[in-house]
Amino acid sequence: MKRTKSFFQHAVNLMSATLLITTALACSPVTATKPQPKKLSLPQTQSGTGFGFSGETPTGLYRGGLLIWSPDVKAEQIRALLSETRETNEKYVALNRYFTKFIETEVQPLRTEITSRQKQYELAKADSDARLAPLQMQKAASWFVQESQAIKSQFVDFDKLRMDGLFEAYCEAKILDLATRPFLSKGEFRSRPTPSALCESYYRGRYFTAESCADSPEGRSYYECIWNDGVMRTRFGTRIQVRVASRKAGTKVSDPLALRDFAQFELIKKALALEDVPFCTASEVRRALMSGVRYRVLASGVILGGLTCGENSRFEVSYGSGEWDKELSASSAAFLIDAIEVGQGAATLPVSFQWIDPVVATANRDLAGRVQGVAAKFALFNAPVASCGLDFSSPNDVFFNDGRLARGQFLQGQCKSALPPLSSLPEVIIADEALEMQRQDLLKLERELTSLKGNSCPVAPSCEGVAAGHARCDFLNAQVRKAAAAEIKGVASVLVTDFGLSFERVNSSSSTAVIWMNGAPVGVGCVGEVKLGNCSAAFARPEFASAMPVQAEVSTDNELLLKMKIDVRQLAAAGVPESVVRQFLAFNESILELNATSNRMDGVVPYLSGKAFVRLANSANTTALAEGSVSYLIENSFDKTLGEFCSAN
Amino acid sequence: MLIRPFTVFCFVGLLSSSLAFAYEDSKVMPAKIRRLTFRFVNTDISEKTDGGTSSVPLSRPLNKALTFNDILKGEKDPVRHSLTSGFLAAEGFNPSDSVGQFVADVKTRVQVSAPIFALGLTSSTTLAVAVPIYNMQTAAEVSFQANEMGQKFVNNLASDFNNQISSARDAASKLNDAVARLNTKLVDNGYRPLESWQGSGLGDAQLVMKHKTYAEGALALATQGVITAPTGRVDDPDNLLDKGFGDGQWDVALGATAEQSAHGLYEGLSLTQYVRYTYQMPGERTVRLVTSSETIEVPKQKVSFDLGDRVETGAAALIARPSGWGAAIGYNYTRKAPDKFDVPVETRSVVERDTLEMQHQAEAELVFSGVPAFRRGSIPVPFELKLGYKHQLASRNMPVTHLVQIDTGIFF
Repeated sequence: MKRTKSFFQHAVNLMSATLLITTALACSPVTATKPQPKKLSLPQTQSGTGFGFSGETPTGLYRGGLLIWSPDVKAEQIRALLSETRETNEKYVALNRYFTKFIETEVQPLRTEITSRQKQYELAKADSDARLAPLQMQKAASWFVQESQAIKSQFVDFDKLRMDGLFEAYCEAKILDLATRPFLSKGEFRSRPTPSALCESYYRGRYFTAESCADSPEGRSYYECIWNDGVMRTRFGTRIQVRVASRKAGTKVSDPLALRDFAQFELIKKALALEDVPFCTASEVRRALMSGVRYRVLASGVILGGLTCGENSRFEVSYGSGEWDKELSASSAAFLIDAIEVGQGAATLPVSFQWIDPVVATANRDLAGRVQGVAAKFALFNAPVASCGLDFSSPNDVFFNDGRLARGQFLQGQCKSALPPLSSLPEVIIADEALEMQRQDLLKLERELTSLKGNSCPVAPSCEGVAAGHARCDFLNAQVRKAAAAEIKGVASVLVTDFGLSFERVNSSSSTAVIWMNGAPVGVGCVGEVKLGNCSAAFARPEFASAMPVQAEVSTDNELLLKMKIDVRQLAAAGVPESVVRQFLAFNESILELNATSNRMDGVVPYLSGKAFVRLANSANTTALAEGSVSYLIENSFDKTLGEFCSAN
Repeated sequence: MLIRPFTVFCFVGLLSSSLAFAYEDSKVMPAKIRRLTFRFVNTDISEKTDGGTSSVPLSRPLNKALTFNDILKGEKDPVRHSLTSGFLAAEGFNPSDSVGQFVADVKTRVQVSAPIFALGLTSSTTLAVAVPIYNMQTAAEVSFQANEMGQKFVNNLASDFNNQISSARDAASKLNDAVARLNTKLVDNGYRPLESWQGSGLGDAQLVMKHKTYAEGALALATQGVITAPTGRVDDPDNLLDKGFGDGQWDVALGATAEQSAHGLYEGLSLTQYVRYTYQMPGERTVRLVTSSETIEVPKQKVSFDLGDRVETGAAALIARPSGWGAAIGYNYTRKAPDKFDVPVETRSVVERDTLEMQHQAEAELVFSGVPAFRRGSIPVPFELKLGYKHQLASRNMPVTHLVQIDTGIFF
């Protein structure tokens, strides 16, 4: 027994040792080496959505076509169709390349030269303005005093007082006007910008006396100066009240704050400056403030209305109740400011103009005529400059032009050369001939550029209603030929050759997208950022009443996905021709899905193209009932690029 | 065509068709003596030989070109099929052009542990039973390498003339993701994805009867009969990277071994020769009805098959010293006839292709037997240790494998 036990013990030991040895030999896991994959490079898509979201695309119609393939389509038919449309594609590509090359070799060098000259001119003008502005201002002020004295000498005392009062109210309003301009918080000036050159004599000693208003050779912001030592000391500043509320539903609006309290510098900056608050908020606040000054300035206690623009907050601006200058009639003050600001000329001054007593004016028509003539000069002097942006809509911008800006800073807009108002008043002009020559040189180059564009328009076949040589026509011809080829080949179960997409009422955060068939709106959706949903009642428009709701989104690859339920009754009700509606009968109640990417070829004209699907509605099965393609010419882009050359034709 | 790396390789061939014995000799067990032996075999495989005896990577069947035809074949929607086909024709692509290649690396490790029990029925007859236990690991890594034609296809879609940017991006993404898509297709068709695999289980059990038929002077002759039972795990038709541990049918083998003692030349030296014929009986197995044009979207079917019979022969020189130490060197040759499957003709050409197997092997063995020492009373237990190495000299349609084999046995 003992021997047997010993035997098995030895046997087990022996086997265990062998097992250990073999396990050690092969216990590590076997591994394979992953071969290096070789990937295909993906074609790049455009950055930015380009689909009208966030206001990045101008409004307009994108014309195109929709084709749903016949389920019986054969490869040979596709091949034949592609071959036939190849010619038109090549033509389009050639057109693209022609313009691309033309822009590169002809237009761009000239543009670069113009940009360079513009900078030189701006610097020269800045120097000139800095040199001449004080003299110009002095001369203008003298002229104004002289002219106004000439009128006043004809007035009775009451009218003299009234005129002074009106002018003072105007000058104070101009302080608020300047204070609420978006550029003020950002721009750096070497001396205080003036709210109105004509008012400088009135401001002297009354306003802008603080340290924050002193000259600064290095350049600085005068925002605090204009608000704290300007607005707060005007008759408006003591009466304006501001209330703030969150835009969230149910949030209580704050108690009215006096502008002085509200206008802790940072708060005002936040409310009005661009860097912290969306532009629309600043501009809307400004609009409300200024409309109050213009139209409600004497109507104590009138609430001007709420502002809903902006991301998270809204503002309500009102004037607190209190005594106003009783001697100034509301209509007179409002008219004075309006007349000056909007530049109503002498010929259009209304009869309600009451700088002089109506009785006197009636009795002394000669006097009234002369007064009106001088007032017209004021109006002309203060007339806004055409094409000026918001920053420079003020008539007196010529006096806080970039000559006062710190070096290296430029205000945008074309108002830096805002001399036209002065040019009609030779009494106050100080000419700078060297600068004028520079300006003429620049204008000459700009004319050359315009001429160059006009001559470059290619000759293309004419379309009905479109003049020969119009490049867009050429492309549309190509599209029509493609559609015609598809029709002849019988490859489509649905073929809509006039299939459009438009983004309307585009602003910074929303727009309305409309799908068109043969000029009829068949689908409409409202865009908010990158999502498209049903339009709320506020966005609904009567002309789209028969259009079906459209939903959409934009993928990370900037692919636009539009979905619309096909309802042949609604298509017909929207005005789609019966011949087109009939094509959709088989797909009634299904979902039409349009999937398009903004393509940019190596040319200059982008367009949308992609796939179209018809899918079952309310089904988890995502398999398409039918598939096709969709393409949109981005007509706006076309106009913007090629049209810039050819629209003259 | 995507086919399994082991399509022609049966692991039974890893071991001798007579599991019960290592070197073929004429020795039998003394009557009523029992021996329990554990055999351990280990090998790594990364190559195999083709029909022309050249070695190729084990992964070669997976290294498959992806052609436009393959893409079209995968497109079930008739409209899309027409669109793609029409586009290829319009752009001048040849449907047989390849857009890239699947590239794989496959490595396999096989370990076999086989307990073998032998009993001396009489002084001239020994009966043995062996039940092998397999453990197999297959590591596989697959990538897709797109080529210039693939890029041209994408570029043409996105070209100025076609302007199908969205379709081009879609196509490029699909091709770049070809491996995942292939795996999806495999899974959709009931296959296991191309991933590393590990499995273990029984192999085919063997019953061996050996009889010393003749012994006169220096010459001895033994005959041998082997019955192999289909106890082993058979090949999974849904797994492209596994291999059966058994071949799924009964085998019957007969063999003879002649041993000539050469004591005159050297004490303990003997020379052996053997020959064995294995008849593989017909069987039934579930297989995928692959064809030369389609290997994934194919049905499974239980079919009859008849594996080719095997002939083995070899010669060795053995030395057994009185101290218990011994050694052997030898050579053996194996040839298996082609297999036959009762399947449709388009499948037969695939599954029967490259099933003729041939192998030349050189082998060496170091032995220590404790029997002499036991007889001297030096050790309490008679045992035997063997360390063997088999080196494949040449082969045809066989894995390129060199085996390390350890035998540990005790007598009682």
